[in-house]
Amino acid sequence: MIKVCAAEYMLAVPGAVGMRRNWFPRIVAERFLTSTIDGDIKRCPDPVTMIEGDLTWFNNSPDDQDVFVQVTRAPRSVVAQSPNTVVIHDAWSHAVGVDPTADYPSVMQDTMGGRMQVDRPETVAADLKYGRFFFDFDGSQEWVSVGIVPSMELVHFRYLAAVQTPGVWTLPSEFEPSWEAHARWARLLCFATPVGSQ
Amino acid sequence: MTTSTDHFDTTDGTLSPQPWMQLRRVTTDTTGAVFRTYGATGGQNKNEILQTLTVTWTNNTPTIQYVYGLVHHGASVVALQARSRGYLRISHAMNATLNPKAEAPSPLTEVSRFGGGADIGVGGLLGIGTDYAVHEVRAHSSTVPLMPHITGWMAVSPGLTVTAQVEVRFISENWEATNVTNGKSNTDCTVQAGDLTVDLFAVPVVEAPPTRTTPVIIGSTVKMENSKSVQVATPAGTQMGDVLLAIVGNTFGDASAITAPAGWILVHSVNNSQWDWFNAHVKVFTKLAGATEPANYVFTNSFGAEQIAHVLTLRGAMPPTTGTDANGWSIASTRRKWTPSGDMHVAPSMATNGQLLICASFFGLADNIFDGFGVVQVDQTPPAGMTQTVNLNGASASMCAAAMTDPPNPTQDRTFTTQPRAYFSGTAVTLSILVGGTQQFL
Repeated sequence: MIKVCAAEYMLAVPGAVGMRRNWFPRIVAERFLTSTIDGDIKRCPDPVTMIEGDLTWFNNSPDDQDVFVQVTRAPRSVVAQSPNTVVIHDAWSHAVGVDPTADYPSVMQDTMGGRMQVDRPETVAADLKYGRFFFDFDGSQEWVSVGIVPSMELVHFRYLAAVQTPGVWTLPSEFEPSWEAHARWARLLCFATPVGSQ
Repeated sequence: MTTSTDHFDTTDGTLSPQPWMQLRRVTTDTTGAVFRTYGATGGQNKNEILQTLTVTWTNNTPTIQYVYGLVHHGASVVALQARSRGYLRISHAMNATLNPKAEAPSPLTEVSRFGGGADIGVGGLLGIGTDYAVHEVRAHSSTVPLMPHITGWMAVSPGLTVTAQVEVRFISENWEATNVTNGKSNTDCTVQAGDLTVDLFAVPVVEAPPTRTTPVIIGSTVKMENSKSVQVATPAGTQMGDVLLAIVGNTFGDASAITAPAGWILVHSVNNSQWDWFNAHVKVFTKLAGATEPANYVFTNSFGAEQIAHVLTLRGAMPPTTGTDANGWSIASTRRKWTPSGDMHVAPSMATNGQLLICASFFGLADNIFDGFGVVQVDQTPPAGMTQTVNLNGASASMCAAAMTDPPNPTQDRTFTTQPRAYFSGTAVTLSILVGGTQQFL
């Protein structure tokens, strides 16, 4: 029996040679996260966490792997009473190393939601006109390139969704206002592939 | 033991897979977010480029590679004062060619829109302005396929360069021009286009490419006009997703005067950029049929020329792109000076696989001046084994076209015969158009 001398991404035993599992594109880790505060909301000038969670994967194979994390979000909905704004932020961060800890994600510039503002900020509560903004946004996905995870190293990926009411906030006194936010859920899928030529 | 060195590396006596024999990301590029703030009222409609990003990858491997792309677009914000309505438009283009600088991908196809607007009625003095109101919508970031409207992955031969292009514009449908009641304080007209990233991925082709469907000619129309633009009817039965093919020729004047309506792509032109006296000009245009198509199309003509426009509706065909790997299309032509022998009208052979071959012959001034007086019309007969789609003789222009399905490779010379023997003062153009069928999946 001959044992073929094989290099990375291959397995060789006497009389047989084949591809290692790390040769094939595959899902190596998955996380399903649900929102904890969907529904009516109050004023939140600073983002309030709705969904948070993380995902880790240890590359115990002898070869480097190119890693992507697919973030799949549920459809999202907000309701905002004029003159106020309701938005849901989305953020993530990642780190790779022997013992990595991803920074806590900062919520910036990745939002859904909005406003229908029919009064200026200086309008007093009793004079506010009635305006209400309803916005539903389709489910969406992001492919986040983590980069190369070397053999015997770990990837740590954090995810965060948070609700915020930035800007002007006036409570109408003559009618019943309503604000809502629904983030529902998010799914994290970690894909690994071998490192190839460019 | 022997191994394919295209697939495995055996140097130093060690067996390892070649680094191109796998799914991998081959190139990436990114450009930052763009913010724009506009005056709340006044000014004109906006149509501005916010971002453009072009990435290229040359297949530097010895094997054919399937290439696909992912486009990441950061979060979007469109906040507008009432009555102004606008949106961010994202368009994609992609091709594979030997010469990417000379053959940039075109056209850009709109694949995404996000925006909005509101109207709260009239306000202010005499009710000609509008009241204060700001409508703001924000969208999350997302990753979408590059060229989502095209089926399959682009098969890229070794040596070819793939170019992918993404453009983001802000376009307004309406821009408020009147005054806001009580002034502009706290109005907001802000647009944000988030960071833009394009990744290209490659997958080796290790077996024969998937088969393609054989396109079917659903219908065809033809129109001939003298000295004015040609209005040719859209073939009956045209549906969304069909590919429209137009062969347009004239016999006189400036070739650049032949133009197609908006939405058509020029895929081939013969004798372009020339002013001629009884010389044939031919252009080939294509268009991907949308949900609604007009009842007819107008192709412009040069003054004094007789022009023939032949439109065919093809079903099961790939929409062609410009460039060398034009989604499986190949087009070749011959242009010959007058000769009394009968071998002028030969559609050239092409050594390419294709699913539908359309050949066309066009020439001008079929004037048999040596045999009699005045214009003698010359009848054309299509090449043997092909089905005629048009045969039209005018006072000074003549077009014959014919098609065959699943032509051999090479497609072989296809000869149009003329009767009586024609005497020409100009040139004759003969075309071979090889249509790529839609890609089938394994």
